[in-house]
Amino acid sequence: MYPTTLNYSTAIQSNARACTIRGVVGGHSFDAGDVLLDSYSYTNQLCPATEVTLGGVYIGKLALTFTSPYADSLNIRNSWRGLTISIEEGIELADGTFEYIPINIFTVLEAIWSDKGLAIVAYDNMTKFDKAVPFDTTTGSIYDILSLACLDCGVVLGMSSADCAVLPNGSETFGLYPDGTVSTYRDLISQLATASGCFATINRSGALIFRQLPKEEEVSGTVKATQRYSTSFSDYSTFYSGIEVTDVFDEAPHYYNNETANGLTMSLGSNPFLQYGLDEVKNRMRQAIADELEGFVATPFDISILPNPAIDLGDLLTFPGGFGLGCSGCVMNLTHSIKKTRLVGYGKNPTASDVLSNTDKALNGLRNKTSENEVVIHTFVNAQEIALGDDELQSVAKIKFTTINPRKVIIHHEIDLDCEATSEDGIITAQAFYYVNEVLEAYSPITTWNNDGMHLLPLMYVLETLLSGSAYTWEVKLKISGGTATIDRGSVRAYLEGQGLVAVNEFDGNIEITDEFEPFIAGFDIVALSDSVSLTTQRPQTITLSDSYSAFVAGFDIVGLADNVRLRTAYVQFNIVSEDDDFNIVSEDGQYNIVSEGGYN
Amino acid sequence: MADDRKIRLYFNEVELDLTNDKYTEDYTHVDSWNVSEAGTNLRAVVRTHIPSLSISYKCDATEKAKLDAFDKASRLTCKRWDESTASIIDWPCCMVNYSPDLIIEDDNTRWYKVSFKLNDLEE
Repeated sequence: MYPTTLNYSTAIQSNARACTIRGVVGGHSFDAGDVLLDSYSYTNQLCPATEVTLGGVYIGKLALTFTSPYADSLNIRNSWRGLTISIEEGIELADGTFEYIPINIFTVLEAIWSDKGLAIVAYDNMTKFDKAVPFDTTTGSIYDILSLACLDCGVVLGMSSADCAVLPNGSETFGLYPDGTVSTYRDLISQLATASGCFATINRSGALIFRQLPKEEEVSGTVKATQRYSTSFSDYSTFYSGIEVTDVFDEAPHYYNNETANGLTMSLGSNPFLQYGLDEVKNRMRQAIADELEGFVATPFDISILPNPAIDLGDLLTFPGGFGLGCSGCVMNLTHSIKKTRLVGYGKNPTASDVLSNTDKALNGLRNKTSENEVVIHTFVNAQEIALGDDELQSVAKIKFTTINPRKVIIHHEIDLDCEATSEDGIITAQAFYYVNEVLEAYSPITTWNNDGMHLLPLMYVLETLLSGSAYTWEVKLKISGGTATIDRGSVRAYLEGQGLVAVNEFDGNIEITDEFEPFIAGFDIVALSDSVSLTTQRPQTITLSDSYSAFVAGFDIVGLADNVRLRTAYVQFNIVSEDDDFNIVSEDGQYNIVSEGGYN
Repeated sequence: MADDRKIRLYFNEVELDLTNDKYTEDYTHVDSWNVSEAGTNLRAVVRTHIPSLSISYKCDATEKAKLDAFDKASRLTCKRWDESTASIIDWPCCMVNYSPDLIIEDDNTRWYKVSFKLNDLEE
């Protein structure tokens, strides 16, 4: 509920009041006299009409028709599309003045001239998030990821880091699993809002915010029977006992329950922000969402009232008297117009809703095992600077992948090189060599540059004869002739995509070990150099637990004694930050031990 | 005519030669009525007290010619007596339902009974 004055609160209790609008379009102000009667409406919602869901990213829509004299007076014909339009609704107070409530800020998308005037359709800033996400994975807190999305899409984030931190999972670090469900920032925000038990919307200042569904006791307002018309109320309330999350790793649905009994189960699908981490972390994050739904109880309804622009999506209203019988409803769809406000709440009947049997649950798991048809993408970015000497063959990219039933696999690379010519003619030649499991492919593209400086090298290759159930390593080596080149950290970008690949980036069991030595002058001929590598394995240590108790006299026969012994293992997760920028960890005691100064030694 | 006469109409500064056969003020509202769940009336108001004037009087052909011109205008500035302020006010309006009925014709002119309505064009 938008904060209003006491006079406003008094005014909306009245059964007769005036409402007006005013606004600014493209820097030109207008009022109700410039807008045709009954043409103004603002609509928005937080979930589909079928059921309550999290992660809503619905677009607020404004429609109105300007009078021809007003539209003509601006003299901006053919320039309406893209104009910013803000609008406020004014409610008449007892003293005859109006209190104006901002509705939102919109961008004009359609402008149609007719004999009645200029009909405008404009949308709020949520449309700006319909922009392709330039990455397939990312990590960060809710605030980090939202800040990135808002910065890239030119929308203000209406939440501080502290606001985000108090949301469910607000203190977690999210990792985006690249399952192909996130193609635009709006998708990203929707999935993130779901993972934080919220819906996303644009506030009255045009900023992006996350908002939680209200708890039963978080009542925003009351609408009495004398204030509502065209009413309908369901004879049940909607509430949730838990959630279902499909885990992409075991491809099966997992269920998380809260303390509410006999409620609905909300399906979150295979939310890509709830897939990474230890099982404990994933379970904790998913459970937080299930817990967030605890206490949400709302009756589906549909009412109209005299205009009240202060009402927001997600407000919980109570409906005393009449058909409402004191029930509460959450505003999930609202329409503001100059003569009325229409409010709608959705929801399913927990007792009439389909309950999944164990067979259904198992079938769901089987249905999810269709990864053969999914497009899987593996990405690569170089973490270290690469120096390419003249005529030296140097590895610049390496991607490992495993196949299930592979079809074509396409690999794209983009390499940004800083070149310096050393040859007399100043011509620099770059040649790429492709290796599959260390076997050189027949195709080795070559290019030349005739000047120093930055050069962008795009490389593309298609693999077609891959075997099922095999592990592959794709490697690109580069050779620079006639000069040298350096590649900055992060300047090799590559991705590999294809169907029938294993999506999971797990440790494949390979450990690569390299040893280097500096050239030296021996003063005599060296016939051969030899070195040896020894490998030892360590057997798991058996831990024996024992418990003892003192003998005692009970005074009666003791049939048996029982005791439980529980071993708790602690998972400690920490980050290591390299201060020398070379990603090296130097052991100072020569024993390869990392010593913590805290309590986890 | 006496100067203290209240019922006067000026269209674009031209005074009509009223005979006051009919001079009726009407007021309308732009609002929306609904009946609440409890049976009470709910009224959403956009604009109230929108005036209109219904006029009819007898005139000659010269006066009728002036009215013909006013009927063609998209907008008139009318000076009329306002009861609430007890003064002559400027009122933007337009003429609708204009109807001149011929009463009689003599050797010098024709006499009409004209009727029309003035609708509000307040901005």
